[in-house]
Amino acid sequence: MTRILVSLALVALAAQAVAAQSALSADQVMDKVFNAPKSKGTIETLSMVVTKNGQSLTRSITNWSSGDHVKGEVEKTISKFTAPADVKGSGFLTLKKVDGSTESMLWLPALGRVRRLGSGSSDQDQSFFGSDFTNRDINGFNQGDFTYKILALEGGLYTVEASPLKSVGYEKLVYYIDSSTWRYVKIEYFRAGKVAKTQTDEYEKIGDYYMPKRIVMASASKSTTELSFADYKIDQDLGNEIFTERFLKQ
Amino acid sequence: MKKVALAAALAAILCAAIGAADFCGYVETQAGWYWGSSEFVSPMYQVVEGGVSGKVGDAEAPKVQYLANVDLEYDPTSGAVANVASVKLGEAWIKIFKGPLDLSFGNQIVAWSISDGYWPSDVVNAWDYTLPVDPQKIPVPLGRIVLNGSNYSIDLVAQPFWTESILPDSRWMPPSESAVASLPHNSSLDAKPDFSWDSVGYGGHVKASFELLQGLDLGATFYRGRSSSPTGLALTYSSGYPSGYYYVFDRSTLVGADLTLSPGAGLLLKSEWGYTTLDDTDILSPEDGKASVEGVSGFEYTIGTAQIEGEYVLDWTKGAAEAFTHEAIGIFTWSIDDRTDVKLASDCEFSGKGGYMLCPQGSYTIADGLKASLEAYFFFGDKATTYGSYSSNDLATLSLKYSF
Repeated sequence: MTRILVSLALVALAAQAVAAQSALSADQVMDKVFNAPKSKGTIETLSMVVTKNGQSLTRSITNWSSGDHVKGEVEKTISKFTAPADVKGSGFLTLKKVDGSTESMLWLPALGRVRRLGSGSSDQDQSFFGSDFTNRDINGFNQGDFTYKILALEGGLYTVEASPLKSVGYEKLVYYIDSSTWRYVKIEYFRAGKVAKTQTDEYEKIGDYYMPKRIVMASASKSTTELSFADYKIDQDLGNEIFTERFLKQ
Repeated sequence: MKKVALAAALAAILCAAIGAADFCGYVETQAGWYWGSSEFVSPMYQVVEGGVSGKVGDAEAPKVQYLANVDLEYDPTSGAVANVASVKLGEAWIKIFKGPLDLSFGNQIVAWSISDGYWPSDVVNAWDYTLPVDPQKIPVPLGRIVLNGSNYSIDLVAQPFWTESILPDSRWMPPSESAVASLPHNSSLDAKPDFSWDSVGYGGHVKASFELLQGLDLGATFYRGRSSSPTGLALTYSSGYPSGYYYVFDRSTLVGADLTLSPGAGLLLKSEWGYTTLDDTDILSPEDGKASVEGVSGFEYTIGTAQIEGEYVLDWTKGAAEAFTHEAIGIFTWSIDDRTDVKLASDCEFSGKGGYMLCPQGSYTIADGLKASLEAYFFFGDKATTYGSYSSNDLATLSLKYSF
């Protein structure tokens, strides 16, 4: 009898949980995605393999990043190439300000020169180092740039359609969000009514955070880009001295 | 050879002391032809560069950083057997980080100019003018201190040894020097001083950054030292007739300023000006031919993976027959995909009878670290102009480079 009562209680709790989940609006779901806890300062290594027509090129990058745009902070990133040898040592410093403007600098070790880059809104739609990702795909979208609609909820997986309020380079996006982590596991990017690219994401839990472990972007044109993340250092106190020309050149 | 041994010793000591270092370098093979004559471009560089670099201490806050590169070059087109193969020291320096200061010593490259086609403020390094339309900086021995502030930097250099630029061969000689160039060159009379206080160079560059629009940088430059490139030609006489010539390398003083502004919308604006006086002439009332102003102003516009740059260059020399010269430089670059890049550069002289150069380039990444490049230079204009005088020097080069 006790077992039956316990089972009934568990069923009731589960039903309550599903009801609670399904009660979430699309905006509430996306609030959870965009406001998921983020590491204060992160260091990571990234391997990017771009495959086209069966031929691959690999780039390895170390990233230092801090700041959270959602909290009204300047997002700062330094990326240094560690491979291949012909680009090794070169790097970027990017400061993404709260007003959405971006300040970027490029370090060219062969010339011994830090070069300021002109940045504009079109930069965000350009390919990230010749890969299937655009810079915007990598940097992430702003929550307020879309309206959201839940298309389905199945097995704890929300399907949310995001329709842009302004030009973001795509007609719409469809997110597949795992409600146990509030992380998206797949994004479909639509252009001209068709899926132009599909992104699949895998995460690993490090401390309190779900950090990307592997992201694959497959284009309808048959090229793919795979990003593999490793050597995470989270909640690092990355002072302002990191996000400087001096550190970029070291 | 002493420098190479010194670099090797330095590298060995560092590696032994530190126990960890990166070894990297490249192998490059290059062939080139003059378009009109099917003659090979000389030198035809076959280069192996090897280097060691590393840091001591934490990756985010190193105490010391070092680099030493050595080039082994082979030129199959060289007539002189002794010059067929050579060993050169490239960049080789050690940098110590102490609070906000960076102290560095050794063979270094200094880049103070902000423009891409013309460099009025880059006067510290000597230049390799082997291909005079694409000069390369030569690393020179320097002591250097950089003070890094929150939004400014002060970069001071002292250059104890004068280094001469590598001059092009006679086919690139400007028309004004061609008559003199037919005379024998008396190199023993060149003003090539060994160490002397008179030849020590020193100067600095101050840069401040401001949060205006998407970033504003203002810079100022001062440098005083013996010019690494000839500032004139002098004749030697025998029985009252010119019998030879030698180059003169005067002391020069540069005062310059630069500005870079990123207003947004993919645009970048740049301007850089330098005032140079020679031979310790009075700065405010210089003698004729001893003072010049070089300036470059331009823009960059980036759209997608393509970029357009336009630069206007003004050169004024006091007392010269043609005091003002004007040029316009245009550069278009486009990264077509992750493997293919193309570039078209042009330089047009507006002064006098004019003249211009076109340089198309393309590169393709065959595999990780392996890149093939093709570039060509075409020159047009009246023979009396610089580019017109190069019209028989149209050339194309093909190179293959493997970096490891």
